[in-house]
Amino acid sequence: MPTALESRIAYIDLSKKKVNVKTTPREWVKQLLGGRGVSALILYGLLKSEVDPLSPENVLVISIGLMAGIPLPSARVNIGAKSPLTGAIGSSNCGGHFAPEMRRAGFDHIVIVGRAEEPTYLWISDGTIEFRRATQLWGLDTVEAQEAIKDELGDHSAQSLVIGPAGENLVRYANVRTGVKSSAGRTGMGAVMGSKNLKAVTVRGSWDIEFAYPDKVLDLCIRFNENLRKTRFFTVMQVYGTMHIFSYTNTAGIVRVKNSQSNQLFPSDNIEAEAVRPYSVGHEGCYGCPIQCRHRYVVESPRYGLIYDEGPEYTSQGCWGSMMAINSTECMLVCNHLVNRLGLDTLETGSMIAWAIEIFEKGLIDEKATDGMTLRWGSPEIVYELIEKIAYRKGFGAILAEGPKRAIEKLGSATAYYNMNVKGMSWLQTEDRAIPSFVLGVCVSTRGADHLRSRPAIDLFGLPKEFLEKLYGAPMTSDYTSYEGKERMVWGNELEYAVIDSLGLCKFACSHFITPHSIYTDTFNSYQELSELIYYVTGLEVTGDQLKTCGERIYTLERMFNLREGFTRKDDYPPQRYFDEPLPSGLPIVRGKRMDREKYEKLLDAYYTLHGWDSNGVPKAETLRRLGLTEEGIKALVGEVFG
Amino acid sequence: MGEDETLGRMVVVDPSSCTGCQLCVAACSLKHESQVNPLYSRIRAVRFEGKGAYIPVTCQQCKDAPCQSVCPVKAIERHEETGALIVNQEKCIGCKACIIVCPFGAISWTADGRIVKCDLCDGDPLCVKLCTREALAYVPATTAHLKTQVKAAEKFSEILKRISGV
Repeated sequence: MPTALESRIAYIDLSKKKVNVKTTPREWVKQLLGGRGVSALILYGLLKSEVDPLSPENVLVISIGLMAGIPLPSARVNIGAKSPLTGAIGSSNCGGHFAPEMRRAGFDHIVIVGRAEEPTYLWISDGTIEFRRATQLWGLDTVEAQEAIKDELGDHSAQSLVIGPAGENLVRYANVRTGVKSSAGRTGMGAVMGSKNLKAVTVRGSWDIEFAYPDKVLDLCIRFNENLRKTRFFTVMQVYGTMHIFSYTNTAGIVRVKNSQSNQLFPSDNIEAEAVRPYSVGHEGCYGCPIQCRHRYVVESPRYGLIYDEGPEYTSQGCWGSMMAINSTECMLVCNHLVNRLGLDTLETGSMIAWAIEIFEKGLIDEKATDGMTLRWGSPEIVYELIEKIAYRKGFGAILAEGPKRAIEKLGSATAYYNMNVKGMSWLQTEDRAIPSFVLGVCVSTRGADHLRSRPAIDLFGLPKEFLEKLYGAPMTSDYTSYEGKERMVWGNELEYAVIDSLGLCKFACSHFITPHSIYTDTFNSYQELSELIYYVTGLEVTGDQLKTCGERIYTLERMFNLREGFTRKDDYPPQRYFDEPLPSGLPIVRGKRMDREKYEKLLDAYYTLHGWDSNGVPKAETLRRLGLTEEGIKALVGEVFG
Repeated sequence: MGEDETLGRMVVVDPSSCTGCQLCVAACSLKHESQVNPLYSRIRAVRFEGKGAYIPVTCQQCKDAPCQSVCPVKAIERHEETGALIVNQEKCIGCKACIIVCPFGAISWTADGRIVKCDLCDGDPLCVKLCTREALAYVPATTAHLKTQVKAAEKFSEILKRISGV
């Protein structure tokens, strides 16, 4: 019977059709928890540098969090591999209902190598693993494929991680999806599955999930539920989801508009959170979640007919609304649907299209490159067309499907300045150059430009200095445009998010990710509370301080993966545009702002110091010793399973 | 207390508000069986994901309960205060006839050989307490229809608005 401490790892070789099952070492749990942390260790341990991410040698790790299955938002499943988009560590997680089903099916970690001879899917049920033919599924979209698998197995409750046409066609930012909307979106994990001829991984289990102290787990769950409901954050998220953020960020001038040329879009009434409500037919909840932050919606489109989908999130709202300068609810809902069904990362797709439109507008490419299309802002039809071309790698879409680095090589170095990426992954839909903490977080993120590794959204609230000092343990300004103390904010959040991701919990439910409200209540926002939860679930005594060290270990391990692939300090900077161009509009504190290189350099230095890394961002020998990450230390850890 | 009065309150489900989050399912199993397994949860929220429909299913504590009628040893007894149909584990012989006849599939069999079903948590159902969408409510049976009635009326008023242009 699966408990978090007696879980198993399946090592699956698709080329040889062989399966090897091992027990998860206790030491892995103590040092890396699960999910994202364990994934980082396996990738570091099993991969050699310079492996082609789309070759059979790449290692795909599906890993659930240590807390998977408890009656809380605990269903994050992490997908890891070397990223075909960046060449750095690939790691992305999503919610849904897959993770608890995987634990019930008997596995916490699935490691997949090789390449199947023909399209294949894995059927994992109550401890058994079966290779099944997937030629009949190849070409189906992400929801059709899941439904077809359920029909084929005659099991209505089976849960699948699948790829869509984008993953099959090796679009370098294809995602992995489960359910109608949950997407492990970033870093192109769908392309890795596609390269392995792996259409889906399907799990179903009837085993019990057991806990060390079940009554205490239940008490915590009830307490969490009661406290969360008292917050305003909860009420807003229940009705609008993450889209509620947009009205503030657009008013302030911190959203990307027309790629990155402007920072406010008006009018924006049709892409505000309220505009989606008439299309909503209810909400959708990930496993164990009392918030249920996403809409289920129906929209009628002249081009696509009647559409049913879930979402959109703040990211899709920005990508298909403000970034494209399109004030249309229908366009936003249709684009969200297209990327979902085709299996594309909404953010990377939106960012690549926005870049294409800007460089076309600037005359750096013309109709010869775009198959005769005249690219311009504000046209839903052009955006629909490009999304489809990318997913199926048709014409110009095949260039955009390659992601920032390779597309720049093809379209000329003059286009590079306009491509907003870090480490080869696109910046999110927000315009952050007025907010140094956000910029630092995005630039040092171990998986390329990304906010979910650290985003200190709390910085926007201008909370009292004393409060922030108490929270982060050092003096800090309340001014979000300031650089002062922001390295500690980013560092602190990085460690916390690494722990939350590795426990498989949802950031919305257990941290001050979005709002200070949760801090005033009794949700899981401190290491101490998480340590209590871990004890009740597993019986394992991990102190708050030890948990924080787990966060450091995970983050440094991911950094080491990237260093081995040649990434250094030079890859921790925002695009040149952030230093050159002042923001054209927005609130007085935002307008006219751009990044200051000298101050950024200092911020970066201070940030490296907190991690115990040298001025090149390389972990110092003493840091590696303290975290148990010396070459011998890692070898011993990895050797417990893959000796 | 007469039979009719003991049927006073019920867990009423509203599929249009259910989000399929499984919180009720996981918590019910954890409370009653000290582990999480949907198979042993007394409530299910059946997910039709692709179609966007989620339907909670639980024991309706029927007045003329087929499970009670079919039980050859009269092991299913009505709780005096809550009106819940409770399985008397001492009497139960595990014939599973109740599972077969229940029209809601609300009765299940555990791996260690017990018949289990909703006991209304002694009058304070946990599933209802945790449901943040009010897809579950513990209400007097005599008013159980009201929410649906109001929803229907809302729809009707929208139609009227469209027709009359008010």
